[in-house]
Amino acid sequence: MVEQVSRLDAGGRVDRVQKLAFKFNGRSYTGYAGDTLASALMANGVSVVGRSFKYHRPRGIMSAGAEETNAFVQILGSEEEPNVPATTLPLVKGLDAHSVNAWPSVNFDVGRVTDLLHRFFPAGFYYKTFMWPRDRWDWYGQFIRRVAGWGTAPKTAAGKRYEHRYHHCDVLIVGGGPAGLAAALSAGRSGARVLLVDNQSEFGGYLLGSSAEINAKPAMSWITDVVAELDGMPEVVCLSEASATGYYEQNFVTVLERRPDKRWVRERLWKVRARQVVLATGAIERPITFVDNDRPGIMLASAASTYCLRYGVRAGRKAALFTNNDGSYRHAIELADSGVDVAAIIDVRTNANADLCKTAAAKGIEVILGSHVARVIGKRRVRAIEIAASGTGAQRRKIACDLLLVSGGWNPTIHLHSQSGGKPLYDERLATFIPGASVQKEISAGACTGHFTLAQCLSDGLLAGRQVAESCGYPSDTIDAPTCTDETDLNLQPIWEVPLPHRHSRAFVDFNNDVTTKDIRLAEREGYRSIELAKRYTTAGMGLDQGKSGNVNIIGLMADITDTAPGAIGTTTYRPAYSPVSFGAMAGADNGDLIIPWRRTPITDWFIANGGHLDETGALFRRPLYIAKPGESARDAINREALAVRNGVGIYDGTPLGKISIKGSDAVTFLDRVYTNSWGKLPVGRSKFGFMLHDDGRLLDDGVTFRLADDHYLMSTGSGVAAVVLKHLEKLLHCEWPDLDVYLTPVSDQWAVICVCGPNAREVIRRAETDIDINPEAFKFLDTRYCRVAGIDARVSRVTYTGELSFEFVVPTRHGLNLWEALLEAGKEYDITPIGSDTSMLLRTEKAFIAAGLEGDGYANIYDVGMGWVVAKNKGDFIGKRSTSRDINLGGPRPEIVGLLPEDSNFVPPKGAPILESDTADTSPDASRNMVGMVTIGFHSPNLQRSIALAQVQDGRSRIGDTINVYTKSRVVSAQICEPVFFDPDGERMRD
Amino acid sequence: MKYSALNLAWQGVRNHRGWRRAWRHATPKKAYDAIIIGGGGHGLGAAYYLAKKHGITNVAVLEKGWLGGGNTARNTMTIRDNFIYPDNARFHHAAVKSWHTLSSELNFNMMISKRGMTTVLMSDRDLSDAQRMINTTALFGAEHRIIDIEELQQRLPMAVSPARLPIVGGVYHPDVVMARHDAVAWGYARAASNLGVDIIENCEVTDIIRDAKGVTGVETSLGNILTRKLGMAVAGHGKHVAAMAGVELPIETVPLQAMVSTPVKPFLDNIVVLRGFNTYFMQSDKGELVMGSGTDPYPSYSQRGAPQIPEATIAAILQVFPSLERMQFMRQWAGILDLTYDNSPIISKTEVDGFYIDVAGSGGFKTTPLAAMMHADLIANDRPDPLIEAYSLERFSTGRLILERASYGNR
Amino acid sequence: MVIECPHCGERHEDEFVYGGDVRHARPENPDALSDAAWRDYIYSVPNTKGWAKEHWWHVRGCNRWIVVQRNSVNNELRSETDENYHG
Repeated sequence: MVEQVSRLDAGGRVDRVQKLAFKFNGRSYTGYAGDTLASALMANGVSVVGRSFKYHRPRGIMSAGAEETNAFVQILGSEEEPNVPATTLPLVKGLDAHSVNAWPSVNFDVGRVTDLLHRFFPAGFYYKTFMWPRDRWDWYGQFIRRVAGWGTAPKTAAGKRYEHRYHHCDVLIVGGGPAGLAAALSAGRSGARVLLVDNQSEFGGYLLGSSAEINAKPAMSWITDVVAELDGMPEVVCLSEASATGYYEQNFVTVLERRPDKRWVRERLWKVRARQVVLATGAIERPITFVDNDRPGIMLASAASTYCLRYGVRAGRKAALFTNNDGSYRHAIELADSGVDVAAIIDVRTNANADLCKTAAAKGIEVILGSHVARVIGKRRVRAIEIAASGTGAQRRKIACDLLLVSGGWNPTIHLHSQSGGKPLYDERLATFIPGASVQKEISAGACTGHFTLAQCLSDGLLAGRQVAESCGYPSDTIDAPTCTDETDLNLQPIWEVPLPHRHSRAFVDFNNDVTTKDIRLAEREGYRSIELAKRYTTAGMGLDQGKSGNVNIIGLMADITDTAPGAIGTTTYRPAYSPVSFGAMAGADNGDLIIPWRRTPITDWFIANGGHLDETGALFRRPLYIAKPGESARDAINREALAVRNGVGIYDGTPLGKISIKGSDAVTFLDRVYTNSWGKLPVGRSKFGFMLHDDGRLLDDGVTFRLADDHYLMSTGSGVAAVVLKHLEKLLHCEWPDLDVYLTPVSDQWAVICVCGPNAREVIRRAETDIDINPEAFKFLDTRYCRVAGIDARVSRVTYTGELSFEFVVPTRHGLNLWEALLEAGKEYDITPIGSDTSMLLRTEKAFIAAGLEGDGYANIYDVGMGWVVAKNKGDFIGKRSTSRDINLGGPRPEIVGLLPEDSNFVPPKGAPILESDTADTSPDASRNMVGMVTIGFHSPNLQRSIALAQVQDGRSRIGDTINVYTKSRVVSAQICEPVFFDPDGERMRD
Repeated sequence: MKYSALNLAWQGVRNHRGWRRAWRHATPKKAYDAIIIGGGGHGLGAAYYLAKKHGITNVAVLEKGWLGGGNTARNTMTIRDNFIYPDNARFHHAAVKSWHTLSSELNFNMMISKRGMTTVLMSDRDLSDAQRMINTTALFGAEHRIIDIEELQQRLPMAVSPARLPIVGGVYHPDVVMARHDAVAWGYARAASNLGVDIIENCEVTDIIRDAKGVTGVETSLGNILTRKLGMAVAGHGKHVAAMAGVELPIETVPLQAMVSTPVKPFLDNIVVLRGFNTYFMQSDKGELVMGSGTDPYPSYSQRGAPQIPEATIAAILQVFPSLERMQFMRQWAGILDLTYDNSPIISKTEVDGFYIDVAGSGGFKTTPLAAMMHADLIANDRPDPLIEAYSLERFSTGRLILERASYGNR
Repeated sequence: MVIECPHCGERHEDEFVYGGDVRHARPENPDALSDAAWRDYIYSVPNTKGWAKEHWWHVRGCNRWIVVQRNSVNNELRSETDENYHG
């Protein structure tokens, strides 16, 4: 096979010395450094590169950029990647790529049968069928799903690194074409901090593939000079292969840098905050909607120029141009100048620029005005076209060509402007949408505003750059615009649909999703008139290319059909991302342990080393649920720990408890308002249990607060709700009661909490040696003292969550492990047993200590959970009081916490199990009375040697002694309602 | 014309000339027996059931923009049944069932498919919370099953247990259904229109007119329309529309973001929920991965989201599915949810006679047929069905909230 | 979103916690309110569409609750203060 049959002998920006071997669809080819996969394929004469989505029609390369609609490939190998446009994929050595969506091969695709049967598959056909036999979409869907989708999801992780980089600058310029470079030049010379990003591998934009001249030299030499000057500016950063993908609030723009020079980073997502943004995003040429306009060999006119001049590739041997504007003549002429035989220009207008017509004619190009393409001959490659004169039944004429350039005008790339909040405006003269008023600190410059001549782009850019720099405080002198090649205005005549020759002819408005003009007409006929509805019904504009080149044609066609102005129809919403972003780049370095940080206590490592079964139990702490001995089951471990606490001594790491230091002269007033009980009489060195409510009456938290000094209190909160409680209290202080002299300091992390509990606790403390008198008369329940224990300064309190004699030591976090180990050593003789939080949960259930998160819910109030004794009767307002009094005033049945003793003492009522009045599971809405409650927690109590549970039961407090039923899927077990305390009901043990 | 394979073939021969409007584009009459504000799934559904089940066909649906352009257009298509509160469990179980034969009933293929949902549990606490949910919902017929790591691996072969939150097991919920969201609005519109309902697009309600006896009509951008029965089924602006009738709703409007990847061939059948990361994703019939997580952390009416939510969502997915690293994020959007104080819907009468509301479904797509049916029933009979008694507006006076988040793990 | 804290300067929204509309102040004497008025305070929020004055807590910064003016339609921000009153 001849190498690179379609490569021109000279020209282009590819490096002909560096040959790169690559594979496409299993065949080997070579290209040059500087090629994209698309240009290399074209150089090798490959014309069918893919198959379309629905009809599996053969498709060729349509464009030379991010707007590509046809040429999507799967990159194979260790970095497999689906749905990559060949037009933006730089060719690298060894690249192995495959067409997507074709089986068995792109040249022979059995899916093609849908094309033959196309008339039975109009837009939305699936809404009208697949309902017989009744509702079997599941069955049909499995086949439909298989033919949907493009590439395949990668199956292996490459473990590549991705990173996010935050960048702050004065001016962000998006687009490195003439306008963007000019803007960067004038902003850069002012001294402003500038970031210039461009999605191509080189700066220059369309000039990379153009014969235009600046200052009477090839335009690229001006580009080279500017880029060199920018590179020399210390405050200017230029990124190529970097697409701006999203424009968010407050001038926050995300930029995906595709191949950063640092090898260890595959892609880098820049998060740019710019004081000013210049959008110089250029424009995208739009195709023309005519019969079989999707055949391989039909290409955007500008793309053919780009392939020729930038890549040195001839897109065909014999070309024709089908156009509606003057701007595109340039491309036909550029091709002719490069040695491509250009047969004709077919122009729908009759008023083409006379000078251009003359120039074309001089190059041997026949200019045929007032005509259109009426037929395309050749399925896998254009072989010829037939043209017809517009408006008349004039005889058709056949023109042989294997390349048909099309130009239906230009669509400014307004995606980012629209994402920034701007509302696009319709420009009648250009028959397209241009940016509307700026909403954020952003201006558009150059082709993306509808200014399509090089001179305009340059002067736009220079002005925009100077303006934005000046508004950031960097004034500068005007830079004179360079002189450039004369260019004509577009002088465009919009054409939204070329008359179709036959009723079964199809013209595509969305190549990617295979949407034809007939589909749009059908949608309109069926009432899907709003452009959003038409889009959703036909899927036009919703494909891989997100309608970059096709959307305006769809709007124009809909306007034609409904006889309205395109401006009145408006665009659909542009949403990020402008071009797709890999999942890896989205996530950045947020992985592994960094994804959610986790917290440790000074004892965590000890637990890990000693069989602790660690789990995430709230507030990001990893804590042991139990500490199993080798070979011990979870249940055995919990039972052993629970028995130890009740009969010997246990030790518990309570460090995750929330701790809030409360200081100030109004501390008592504050506590009175946030807790349900009264705090005025608490002496220094004592503590008190408090219950805290939300203002809606729901339970928020409970815990003990210590009075450490006259104006110093320390509140303990549940570990999971520590942050919630702090927010609750801080908000009240700052926003509702700023007059209170109270200061809160969260000190949870500063203090380790170690609790020794059980009948032998006092002996253990004695053995560990302490300098205070811990005899029951001297150190009572709820007392708190400063002391030394095991040689460590500590505060010790007689508070408990297990209902046993307990000593809770609080020491600076750094001493936590020392104390833990000292206490273990001291307790050795008593077989001191470390316990986990599951065990603690079992022990509190035996005592029926309430857990706000389990026994509380969206309805239960403090009385319902049996905590009415914590409510002060005679004090002023407190948070939650009014809602609780509403409940009392309303009366009616209440969900009350009770104990349950199942008839079968081995049956543990599971958490959440419904409680039924009768023993049948009647669940009809009318029988909802049958469900009278729910189990909140159940355990097998080793101390009581039977199963117990706490439950919420409708008016349960008045039903003590009644029998109800606990429902589970496998059985319904009756249980007796009892007082919600199973062990040591008078609390003698903890007061011992 | 009936939608069927036969008619599709016949129209194929006739170049599809014969298809008529899916729904009539009506201009408003002077008065209707009932008017529904909001042309999304819920509103169009209510109008359909008024006509179909209650014989009230002189009905108009008023839509401010295009049909189904609110949250019917912006959701993640998932219909699930994993609520723990008895009232919610009962309602959502019935709601899932209400989808099963909807396509054939409306003669519009909404592509309702049973996909199943696999929740990945990443701590013992997740497991315990899941067990609690399963124990309660079992009574109401919801099917959930705890699965071990081996079965989870079979269902999700690409899943890798992350170092940070190792997988401990999963919950399999076979009942989960997906539907083509836009088609729900279209299907109801077509069926309602066929029964005589007037569907009026681009008609914004600017005021609600009342007299001493209650609602008498609405003031709209197309003029005044009279009615004695007014249903409201709007999302995102429920509070403001109800205020026109003098009804105060306890609603906050919060964005909920979703995002999709570029489409790939099917590799994921189930809907996957990563409990530890509060993230879920699935693969649509088109092949896109549809992903989402929690609501934005502050209220907003902007229908576009902040970038950090998609980043965090995708980072979470990569923890468990690292091979998706080179999948491509294609598009993000945000729906705006009306959230009540307890995150449960209000389907209720109001203190204004003749004014009924079905709002704040907080992800109300999944309940569309049942909520619409109940709303229609409420409008027709002026009393709530027992299924929706708990969703009354009255609950905010009594404090009898249905606060799902307070019971399913205190996060 | 970047919020300008009057104490710390411009900081990313991640450092803050939203704390509700300033106008949603707790009544002076809840006991004096009717059930209906109390219901409206507890369960209803202004849910302003447009410019709202809001409390934000700079929890990962200076720990102050600040007042921020934010447009809930487009998240535009205006002057920020540390006034602890209900405006």
